[in-house]
Amino acid sequence: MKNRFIEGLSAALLTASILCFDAKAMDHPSSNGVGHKMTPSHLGGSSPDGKFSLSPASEDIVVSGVVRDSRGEPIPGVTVSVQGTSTGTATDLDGRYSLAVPEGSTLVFSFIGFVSQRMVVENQSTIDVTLEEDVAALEEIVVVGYGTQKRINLTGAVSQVSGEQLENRPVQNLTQSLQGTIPNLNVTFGSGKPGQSGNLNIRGNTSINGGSPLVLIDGVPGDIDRINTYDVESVTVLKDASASAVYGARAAFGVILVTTKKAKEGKAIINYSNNFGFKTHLTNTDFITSGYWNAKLNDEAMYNALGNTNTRYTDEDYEELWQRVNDKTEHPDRPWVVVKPNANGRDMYRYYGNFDWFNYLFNERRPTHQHNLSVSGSSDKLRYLVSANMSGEEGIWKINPDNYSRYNMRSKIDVDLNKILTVSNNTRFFKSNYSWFGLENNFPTVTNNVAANHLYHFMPAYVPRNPDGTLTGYTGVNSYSVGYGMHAIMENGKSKGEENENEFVTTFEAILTPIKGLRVTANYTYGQETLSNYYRAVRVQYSKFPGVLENFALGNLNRDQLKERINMNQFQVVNLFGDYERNINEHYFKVMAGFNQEVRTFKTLSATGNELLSEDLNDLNLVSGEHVLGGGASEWALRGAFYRVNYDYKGKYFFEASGRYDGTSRFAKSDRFGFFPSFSTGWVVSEEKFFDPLEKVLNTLKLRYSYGTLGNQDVATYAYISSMSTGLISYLVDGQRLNVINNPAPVAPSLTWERSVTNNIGLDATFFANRLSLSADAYIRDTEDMLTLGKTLPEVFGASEPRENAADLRTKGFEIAINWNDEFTLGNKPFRYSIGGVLADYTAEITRFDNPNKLLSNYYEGQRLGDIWGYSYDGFFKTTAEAQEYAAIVNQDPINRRRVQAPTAELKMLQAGDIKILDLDGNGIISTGANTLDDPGDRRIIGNSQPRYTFGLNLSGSWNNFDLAVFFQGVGRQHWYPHLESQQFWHTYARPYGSFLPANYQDMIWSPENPDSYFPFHRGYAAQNSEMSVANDMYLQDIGYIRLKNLSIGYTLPSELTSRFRVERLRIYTSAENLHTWTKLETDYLDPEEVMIDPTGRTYPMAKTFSAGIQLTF
Amino acid sequence: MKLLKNTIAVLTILSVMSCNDDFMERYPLSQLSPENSFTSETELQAYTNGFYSVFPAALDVFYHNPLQADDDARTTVPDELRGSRTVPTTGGGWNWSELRRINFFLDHSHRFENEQIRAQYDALARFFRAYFYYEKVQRFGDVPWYDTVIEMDDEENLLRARDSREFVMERIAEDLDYAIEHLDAGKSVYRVTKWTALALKSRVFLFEGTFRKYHGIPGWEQMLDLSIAASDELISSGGYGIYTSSPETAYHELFVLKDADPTEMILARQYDASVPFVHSVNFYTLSVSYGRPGVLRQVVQSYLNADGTRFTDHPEYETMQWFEETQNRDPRLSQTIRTPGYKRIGENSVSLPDFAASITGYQYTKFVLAPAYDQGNCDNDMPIFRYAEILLNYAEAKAERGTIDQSDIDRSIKLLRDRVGMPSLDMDYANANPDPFLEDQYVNVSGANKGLILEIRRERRVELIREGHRWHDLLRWREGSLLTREFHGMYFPGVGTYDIDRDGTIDLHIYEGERPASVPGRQYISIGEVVFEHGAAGGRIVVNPSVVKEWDENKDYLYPIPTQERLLNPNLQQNPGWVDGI
Repeated sequence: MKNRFIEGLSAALLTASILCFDAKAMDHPSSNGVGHKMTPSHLGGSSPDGKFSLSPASEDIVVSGVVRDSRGEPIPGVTVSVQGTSTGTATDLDGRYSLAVPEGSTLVFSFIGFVSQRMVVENQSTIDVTLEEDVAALEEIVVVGYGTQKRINLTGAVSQVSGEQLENRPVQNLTQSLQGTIPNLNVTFGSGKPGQSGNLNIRGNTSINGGSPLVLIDGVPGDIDRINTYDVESVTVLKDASASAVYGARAAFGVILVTTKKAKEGKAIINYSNNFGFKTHLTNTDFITSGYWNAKLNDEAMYNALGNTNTRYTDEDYEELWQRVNDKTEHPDRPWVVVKPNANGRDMYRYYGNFDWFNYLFNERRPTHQHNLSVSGSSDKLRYLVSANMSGEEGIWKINPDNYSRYNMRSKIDVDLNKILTVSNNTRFFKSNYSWFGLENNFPTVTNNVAANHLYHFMPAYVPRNPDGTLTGYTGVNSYSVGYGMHAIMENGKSKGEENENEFVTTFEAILTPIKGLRVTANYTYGQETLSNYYRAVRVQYSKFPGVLENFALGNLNRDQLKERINMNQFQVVNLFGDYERNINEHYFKVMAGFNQEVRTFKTLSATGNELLSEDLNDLNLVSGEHVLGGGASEWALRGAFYRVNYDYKGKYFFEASGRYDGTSRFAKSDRFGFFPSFSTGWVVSEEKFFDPLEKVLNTLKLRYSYGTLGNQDVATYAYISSMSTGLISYLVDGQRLNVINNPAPVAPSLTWERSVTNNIGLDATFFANRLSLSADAYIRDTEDMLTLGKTLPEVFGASEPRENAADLRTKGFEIAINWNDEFTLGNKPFRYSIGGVLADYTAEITRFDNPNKLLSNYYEGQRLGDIWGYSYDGFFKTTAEAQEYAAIVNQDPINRRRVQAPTAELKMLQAGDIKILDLDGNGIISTGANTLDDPGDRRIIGNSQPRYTFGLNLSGSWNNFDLAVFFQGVGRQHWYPHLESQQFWHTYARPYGSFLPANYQDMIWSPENPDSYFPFHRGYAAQNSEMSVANDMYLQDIGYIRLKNLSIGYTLPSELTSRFRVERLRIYTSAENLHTWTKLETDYLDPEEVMIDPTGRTYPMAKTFSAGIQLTF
Repeated sequence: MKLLKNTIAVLTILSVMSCNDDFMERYPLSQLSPENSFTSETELQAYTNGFYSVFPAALDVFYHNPLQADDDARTTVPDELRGSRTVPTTGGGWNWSELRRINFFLDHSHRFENEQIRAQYDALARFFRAYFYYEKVQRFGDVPWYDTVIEMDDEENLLRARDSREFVMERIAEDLDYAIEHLDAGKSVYRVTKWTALALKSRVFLFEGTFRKYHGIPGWEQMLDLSIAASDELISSGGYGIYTSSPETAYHELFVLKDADPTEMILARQYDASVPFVHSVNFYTLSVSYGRPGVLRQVVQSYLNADGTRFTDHPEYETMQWFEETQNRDPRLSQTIRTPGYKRIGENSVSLPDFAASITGYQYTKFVLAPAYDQGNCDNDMPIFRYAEILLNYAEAKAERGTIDQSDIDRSIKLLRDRVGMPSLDMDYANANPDPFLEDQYVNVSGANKGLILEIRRERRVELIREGHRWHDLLRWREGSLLTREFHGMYFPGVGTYDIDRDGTIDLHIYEGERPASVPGRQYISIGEVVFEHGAAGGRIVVNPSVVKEWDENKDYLYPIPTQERLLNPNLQQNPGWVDGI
């Protein structure tokens, strides 16, 4: 009855999900199931794990027996426990055990290296057990291109991680949970924006043009972060040419195969899990909130650069600030806003606050939530799985918080039409929404767009509102706006934007198995994505004269405009492939061949309208001013045929050949098609006779080698076609921007595939009864004919050089994964634990580039990618005399541009606290020389911006229903020279009007009393086009880090308890993400990951997450 | 096995079929193809619209350094004025993308069949090619001439040596003559017309004529003749005039009009807040962040008295304070900088010079709009070609050529004087009494018209200040060494309090040492922060006192060719005096 209920419920969900509601499915009243008592006869049934528990009145009986292995040898030390209780024992040297257990309970026999076995105790007193050796590590099924293989049969470089490993992390995106789990799958996040996807890279630089791995979701290209993590069965990374050859055209950057869960055979299983938590700041947020000190430090820096101060506060104003310097809140006698006459005698607000802008603008606790539900099961000839996931989080803005939400739905149905034909449908739907208030881009990443950033001009001396409640905007004392009006636009709450993403993908598939060993698969996929966004700007008002409201003059706040944009993209994929396998004596053959084609079309519509009739309604119908329309469309197609042939002899010697003949519409007809073959071989050394003595320790050993070629078609859609774009320019005629047709960019006469040739050697081994496993690979990859800006042409050419197949690159690297799994008995219960680590590294060098003068402004032969050229700095001058003495020999002026432009003679002088720059080439002047490799001036290679030694470390253990997992992830070394707009690194040295100065900032600034400071003599803008903005060895940062990425603790309730509520499994857990970071980065006000993508670090901050939830199966 | 074979066969057939169908042929859907372009006039117009972006933007007109040269000073001194220019690796003005855009058009426009219409657009392209090459010659002297798009394998053209400036100037003349002949003869403030081409021709050949004359390059006479002819044609056409209203306001009004005046503006760059397309002249003039521009004292002294006599003839002119020196002067002075009684547009209260925002104390009012525009939302149009310049070009070219008479002055400079109610320039008087103040500045002027030429230069400086002409004027007159002089601001006789506008209240306090207690509405200047000639004893404000300024007569009139270009093209010779180590 119970089962019928669950089946009914699942059927209801299933039918609802396929939009064909069948009322009959609900004809099983729930009262039939709920409250129904189980009878003992059920317990004696075939239920494998006796989940429907027992009546408490059962009597204990003594059970004994012997545990043997498959050869009949007894196994000592096997843990024998009663499931769901703390009762247990272990076998003796003869493999014997004896235990008193309640009748009807389930015994669990477990021992490392063997598959655990469960036995239900009925009324027998002897239970002998034979444990099968656990060869899962090698028998594991690994997903490969257009098929699967056993791990032992693999000859290419393939890593796989199971969905179980991923789903215990309460994160929204799959890329977040993949970070650090697979060696040389490099995942980087440049921002903590809700919904942010990670950048994926496999094995480092494949091309100087960049490019990312091909992600296939159930065989169809897609966005990895639009997948529900809980739907994932496994993620497989194909790293070398051999493994990815069947995807030749797009596999140069590696391939990631995401396989979703299949429908489970048997009765319906319902899984539900949830997670609730909050995000909080990851970096230090202890800032100076004293109006006095913030003003003082900024003003000092600006004065030393320009001869003027930022606040323009007089001594009298400073006196007022000083009186309030300790007032954390407004003291009635000393208000933060006073009214004083301005220069013209008119009454004006004057601000003397100690306002904490950071905590006013940003929320310290941002709630997150997630729910996940799936139903899976089968009936006679039909298997089904439906799942849904919803999650959301509130963003970092406090006043009108930004919000992110996403939904995933999936249905998978397989029907066996007859013995040889199965048809299936696999459909998924994704939707996400991000809405925010404020500027069109609250966190500008555009290098010099400072005019829209909260990092500037939120002086604690200023406050957000005047006493009469009006918003502040300008002090009227200096000419700057308060925080570029960021607070005003937030408080106003009518300027806002929204981004929507929808994706629908459906695959129809037929699998034909006409004769044994032969299998033909045909599928067709249609996908559609709609990306839409709008941004609405409304004019914002402020007040600086009591009783007078004025419009902000800033363009961003003085605009009444609605922008809308819709991208409608569609794709169709056809796959047709077949495989045939056969064993002839000790020879095994498998052949696979197929055909694939894909076409994608992209279409954009955009519109902007000015002056809307309402501030609250946002529709283009309400536009009364100017309209601007935009469009855009493109399409591309791919087509290819592929094959793979496997052969092995006695399971010892393996050989594989595969390849693909591929064409893309992105190249001209004559250059369109390419053939990309690969070969690989493997030798299972441990199967050899001579290996037997070693087998006790080293259980298996396999050596692999592969060689192959892949192509990269990842160039601009119409790179080979000369075309003329259109647009608008900033030249008005009669109040209209002129529309223009641009001249075509030059196109190289021939453009074709970049090819990457990979040599890979690998080793897989297991030790100590398979407790320790090791997998290692090393590779050399030569990328040939990279599409790049060719030889530098003289400027008179008048255009950037067209891309040609003109450069070669060599990347070398390795990756290692080690795992240790074991268990021991602790307090009579098994303590299982595992330690796993991954480590990877690579370096890349240019091996061909037409740059005979070795100009450093372009690539050159022998160049290591990521090299940073910089000057050598030798600390601060101790005295001005020392500085002047040095200045007489070495002219630093070309670098000291800020000092040279200082307002007074004293400030212009090279002096104590200034940085000493070494004249490496000894010519008496600091310069870039001819900017060639032979004459780099006074620069040398001081570091490298590529990540080295990326790693992950996973520790997990479980005992007595408790489980614990700890995950570390990091980068061994990576250099970053702080960008000139990295305000939270340079503070007043970048722009002397910083909002958020570190609490200890004064200690970092040089002064005669503080000669060992981190920063030099306090000159504003010194990090902008001056000695601190050019790379040097003194301020170069190592942003390598180790992060405690995740810590989670769970407890699974004993099944005897949960089964009373018909719950098969109930786990409660709590989890923390990004708990702690160790790094050599000199500041803790920036996160190393934040500057890896955007070197200014002015991105949406990354976050720490704390959460808890339940996982429920019934 | 048979089935397997069949399957493979089918797959093979399918994949082979794929090689020869249309599935893989995908062409751009939202971009035009050059192969079938320029077949409609709309396309010709849209393509040639792209040329307009080369015209200077507002910032290039009112702020660009070194173009303002010694007209105003900032807290920073550009390399050109210091003599600290170095040979750049790349860039440095050696940019040729605009020429490619133009030549591509001229190479392909023949696809349009109507020759008459095509000629108009060809004329526009050639106007812009002349404009492009004029800027290149101004900067580099000799430059290679290209009248067609260079292909990437065209080594001969890519590695060409420079053509002589004489050769290039002849080509410019041809382009401009074609443009003058074929461009629309109607008037338009924002579009290039025949009249714009004439104005450019007037400008280019005045530059080239005087440059050659003062740098000893032959052929200057013909160049000046070309300029004179162009100016004369423009003047004689009668299509343009001088904007007038009240002499006390007309000059100032002209530069704060929201839409350029079509009488005087031959070509202007349009700004419009509703687009939005705006500039920040108020912010750049009035804030402390953009170098605090201030007009130099020497410029203020150049303005004549209101009766036409010379201010600098006054025995005490060097020690006059701001109030005294601004009385009874050429009305253009009080319409260019803040003078006593100045009120911002729409304001009732008087605004004094803001020493915090103006390094010399002489603070611009030219172009500056009402306070509502202080935050970067100004939208007054900016002059590119103004009729007044043509009149000045005409007078100067004729004077330098030696063919001028009083009637030429009456049809040119007199119009500018009339606008502001100033007496006209008397040629004979000027030649008989060369102004020693000007003689001291322009040391290379000689000959019968010396006195007149000096006066024309005065007139040009006064009339065209802040419009981006001064730097090139100094180059063509070979007066670069003027830039090495010390730059001065207002005069004050030492520490103390001042009522600078004589309205009865103290508005400025110059102090030494500790700052006095603040009094609202009063400005404070600290001796030391602001350097005076005689320290606490006052004198003129010395701008950027510690900046060393040098001018190399043999090198600094031209810019260097970037090193990378010389590495890539060994045939490219460096300009004289520039050392790049190659």
